[in-house]
Amino acid sequence: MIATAQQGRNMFIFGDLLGVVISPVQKGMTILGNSVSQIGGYFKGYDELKQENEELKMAVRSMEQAIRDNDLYRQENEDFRKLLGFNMKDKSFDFEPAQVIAGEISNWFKGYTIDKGTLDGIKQYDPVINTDGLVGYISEAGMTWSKVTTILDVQSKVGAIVVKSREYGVVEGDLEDADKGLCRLNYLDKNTMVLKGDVVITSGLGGKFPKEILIGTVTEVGVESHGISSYAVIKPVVNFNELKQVYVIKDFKVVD
Amino acid sequence: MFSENNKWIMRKAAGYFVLFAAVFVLQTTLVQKLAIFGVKPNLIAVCVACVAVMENIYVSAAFGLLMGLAADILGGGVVGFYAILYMWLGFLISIITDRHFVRNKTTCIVLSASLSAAVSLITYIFFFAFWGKGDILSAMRLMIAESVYSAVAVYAVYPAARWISIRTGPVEK
Repeated sequence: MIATAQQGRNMFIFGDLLGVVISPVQKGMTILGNSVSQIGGYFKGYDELKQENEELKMAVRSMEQAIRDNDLYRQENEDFRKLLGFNMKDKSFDFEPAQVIAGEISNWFKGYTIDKGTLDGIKQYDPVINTDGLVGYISEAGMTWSKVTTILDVQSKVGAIVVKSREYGVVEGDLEDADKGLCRLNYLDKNTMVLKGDVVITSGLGGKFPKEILIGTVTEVGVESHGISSYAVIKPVVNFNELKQVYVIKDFKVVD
Repeated sequence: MFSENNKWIMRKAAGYFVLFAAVFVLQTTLVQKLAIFGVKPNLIAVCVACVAVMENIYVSAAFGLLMGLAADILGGGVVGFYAILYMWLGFLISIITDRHFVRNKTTCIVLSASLSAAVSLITYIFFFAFWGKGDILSAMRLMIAESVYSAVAVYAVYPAARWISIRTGPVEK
């Protein structure tokens, strides 16, 4: 048994060193691949970009209006909170920015390798986010690299809550939906009030992920084949095909 | 300094190590951008099949073991699972080719697709079906798509594997 444990440690060190050697090469190849895609995109997407630019201009105008409205609502909200005696809670995160340097070898698992590891203070099970929302968690941490298991992977389980109906569930990867970039919110009540378009965020239950991190929106609701519970298909806010920059949450706490 | 046999082994080892490194870097980087409907070819299976078609059982098994071990370590799974799987499948392909097939590109295409399907099936059984995850229809769809894409990828891997096989010396059965 001692010999087996020693062999396991040796294998881990070997794996870690292999990762240290191979990760700079993967990083270089990823940068090269991204550059080639970018150059191709200049020629391919000119008309699309022009149209997108017009749409974005319109979106900016409506968002400016929305910001003005939001300021008003925020002020109102603070006033109401004071009246009700609630304390505003502030999330305090310790981030480590990291770059995606490699994808998953197999089609069966959904993950990435990033260019930061234990030397940067990253540990196994640290949550990973990007500017849009939740990406996944660190499933393995090497010295200069780490493996991220995304919320699309079947091994991933994230405690979640539907903002509108306040219903709790678990976001899990699904083999059928993963290739379409979708995941599932399972264990909902049979007579769930969740509707298409509802927003899903992390619940913070279990302490693995901080609460109120955006996961995605509901695209479909159905009853499980056994008829005991319902599920919702979720479209994550993160675009996993274009994932380049992520942030590892090394430490998080909710401060009063 | 080295005997003729040792030189042959060294040449083969060096040649195939370069192929192994190139395939791993490509599989985790550029191949990700070639995914169609989220499915990418399994270059590891293609590479093991191509080498097994052209080499003897010892080289095939050793190359399968190396590729599988790296897949275990870099994939973050159970260490030894893919190592043993690819070693045995490399060994089997070498024997089957020796007895029933001609060593050419068509054989590589057929056996790469078969190897990719076999690895997918075993992965599904051990990592999904045993844990009650993933329905068989979705798994079959993924298996077939990956096998077809892997068969196409033979056109890219076969010339490199063949070049190394020829340049590093004749096959010793």
